[in-house]
Order: sequence, then C-alpha cells, then structure tokens
Amino acid sequence: MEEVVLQEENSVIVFLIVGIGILLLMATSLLLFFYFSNKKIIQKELEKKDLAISYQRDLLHATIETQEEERKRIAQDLHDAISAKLNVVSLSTNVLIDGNLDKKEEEQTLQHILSVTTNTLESSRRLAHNLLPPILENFGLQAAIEELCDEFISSKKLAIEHHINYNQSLSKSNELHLFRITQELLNNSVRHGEASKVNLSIDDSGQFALDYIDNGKGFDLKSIEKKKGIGLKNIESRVEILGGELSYESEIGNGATFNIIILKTPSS
Amino acid sequence: MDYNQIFSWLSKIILSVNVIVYSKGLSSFYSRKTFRIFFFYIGYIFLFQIVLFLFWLFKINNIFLSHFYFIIQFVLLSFFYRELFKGKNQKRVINAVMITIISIIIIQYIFTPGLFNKFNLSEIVLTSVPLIMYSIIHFYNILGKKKEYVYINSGVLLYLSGSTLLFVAGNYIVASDSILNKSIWIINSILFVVYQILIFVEWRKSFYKKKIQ
Repeated sequence: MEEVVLQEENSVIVFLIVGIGILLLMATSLLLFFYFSNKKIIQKELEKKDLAISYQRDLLHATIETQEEERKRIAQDLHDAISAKLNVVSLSTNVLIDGNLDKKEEEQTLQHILSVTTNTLESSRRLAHNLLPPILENFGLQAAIEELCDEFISSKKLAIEHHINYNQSLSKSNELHLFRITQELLNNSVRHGEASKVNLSIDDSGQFALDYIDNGKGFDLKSIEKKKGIGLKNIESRVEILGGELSYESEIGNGATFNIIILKTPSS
Repeated sequence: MDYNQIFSWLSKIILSVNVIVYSKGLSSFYSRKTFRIFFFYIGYIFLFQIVLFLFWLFKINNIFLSHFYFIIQFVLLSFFYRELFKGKNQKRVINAVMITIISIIIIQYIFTPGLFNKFNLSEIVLTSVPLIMYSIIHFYNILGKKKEYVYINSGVLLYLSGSTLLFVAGNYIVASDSILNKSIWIINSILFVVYQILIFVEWRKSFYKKKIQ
C-alpha cells in the first residue's frame, strides 16, 4: 500500500518537473526569439541606413560633377564667345590707334569692331540667359517654357508639340526647378534619345501634372535603375525638392515617357 | 547544509548586493519612476526574506505570508510595467487588470477565509500570469528600439514561468512527507538565483557606467 502511494507521489513529482521544464523551455525560446528578431530588425535598419547614405553620396557626387561640368561649359563659352571676340576688338582698336590706315580701311575696321561687339553682346546675353532665363523671372513659367520650346523648334533639332496650362500655383524657386527639369528632359531627348518629336503637356487645373513623351531611342529601365545618369538624378532630386512624384517608362527603340505629379498642399 | 540551502543563501546574498547597488543608483536615477519602483520592489523582497527568516527561526507557520508576497509583488511589478509601457492603451490595460484581479482576490477571501492558511491556487495564477504577459509585451515593445530593462524583464519571464507551477503544486508538496517532494523547492531556489543574477546584470549594464557620467 505504501509503495503505491510513494509511486503515485513520485509520478506527480515527475509531472511537475516536466511541466516546469516545458514552461522554462518555452520562456527561454521566447527570449531567444525576441533576441534574434531584434538582431534582424537592427540589421535591416542598418541596411536601410546604408542604402540611404550611399544614395546621398551618389547624389553629392552627381551634384559636384554637374557643377564642374557646368563650370567647364561656362568657361568654354566665356573663352570662345567673349574673350576671343574682345581680343579681336582690342587688336583692331590698337591698329586704329596706330593710325597707319587710310580712310576706307579705317571704316572697314570700325565696321568690323561694331559687328564683333554686337556679336559679343548677343553671345553674352545668350550666356546669361542660359544661366538664368530672365523671361522666367519676368513673365513666369508658362512663357519661359514656351520660349524654351520655341528655341528648340527654331534650331530644327526637335518638333515639339506643347500644351501648357499653368495658373502660377508654384513658388518662384519651384518654377525654376520645373523649368530646369523641362530643359533637362529636352536636352536628354536631343542628346541621348536622338528624338525628333516631343509631346509636352503641363496641366495645372487640378494637381500639377507634367507629361512628357519623346520618340527617341529610349532606354532600358533595368539598367537605368542600376546606374542613373547625372541628368536623371538631377531631375529626381528636383522633383523631390518639389515634393512631387516622378514616374517614367521607356523601352529601347520606343521612346520615353516621363510623368511628374505635384500634389498641391495649402502651403504651396 | 544541502543544495537547497546553498542556493537559498546564495540568492539572499545576491539579493542583498542588488539592494545595495540599486540604492546607490537612487541618487542618480531618482527622477526615473521605473527605477524607483523597481528599487521598492527588490527592497520589499529583501524585507520579506528577513521576515520569512524570523518566522522560520521562531518556527511559526509562514504559509499565510505567501499571500502578501504574491499580491504585493503583483502590484509593484504592475506599477513597474505601467511606467515602462509607452502606449496609453497598454497602461490602461494594466490598470484594468490590476483592479479586476485584486477585487477578485478580496472577494475570494471574504467568502472563503479558510484559503488564508494554505497556498491559494487562483491567487498564484492570477498574480503571476499577467506579469508573464506584461514581460512578453515589453519584449514586443522594445523590438528594434532601445533595450530598456531587458535583463530584468528576462528574469521576470524566466522566474515566474518556472516558479508559478511550483507554487500551484505547493499545497501538495507541503502536505507530502516524501523527502524528494521537499527537495523540489530547489528548483525555486535556483530560479530565484538566476532572477537575482539577471537583476544584477541589469544594474551592471544599464546603471553602473552611467553613474560616472
């Protein structure tokens, strides 16, 4: 009889020990689960931060590169269009000062100086205009983009069909960003896409929407995702500043489509 | 001296060390409510151990003390977790659970005062399971964030998950004459040592260096 009771007691003890063991095991596995999840989450967060940092770095590099390129272009323009011409003027003036010319030659030289200075004036005006189009300052985005299109059309490089309906909903600095984006898109179409036709429409009636379609060579979306050109990065960061959304589609040989939407907030 | 006693004394020593080091931290961390509440909690456990020792010394039955132990531990740790939790809803849940459980236990003692002289199963379960839940919720809360009180929280989870079942079986163990049954309390002693060590680790990791700043 006593043995039976003892056996029963022992089995209860075994049950207890097993129960406690299972509970402790569960608690420990919970602890480990949280420990490893935490590690994983931190890892993911680090990766995300790394990605953001490398994106920032790329952007910075792109900015510096663009800046350098722009400086080079301006330097070249200044040298070719202005310094060289002014040199001619200075030489001609020297010849005039020396006074060893007859009346007819003198007149010719003066005519030459006049035409060169007129040219130089025009060049410097164009240079300044390219840096910051005064029309944008004075007459707003609509006029500036229209003029930009006309410039491309008159250069016979592109046929542009444009529908612009803009109600001045953007601030001056945002207008400049948008103007630069349009400029970049047109430049890209000519330079990389070798497009002959462009369709540009800007609609400001609801949210601000810019649609841009060219018939150029297009690009491969996958490879562009991996390695974006400076132009596209430039557009992306400007759209980001505007607080808008950029989407683009393209196929090799089938042109490219760009779409920018800026949601209007009460503040803008 | 058997193993049970060794572990029991070991836990008391670590507990005393913990009370001392945490009381030293009070000057630097007094502004933190969580720290204050936790200090009250270990201080309370320390006093409770002294009382238990005195009862043992004068051979008085100390089972009825277990009720105070469980309920006060539940209240203090509930306050502790309420400070730790950031969400308003979580704090509200703790308040509601605390009020409900204490009311249930009071009503129970009013109707069956006889429960006072043995381990009360429902009291043990009701005061331990919510704390285990809070500790799991706290682990969830700190996922991917600053690891606040993570060692203490691990200790609470481990100690309560293990010892609750042991206390539930307490009436049976106390009534039994088998030596094997008595020695099962060693599990509780070991768990309590682990708990105290984790509390000490928490102090070492979270409060020791910061005191110098």
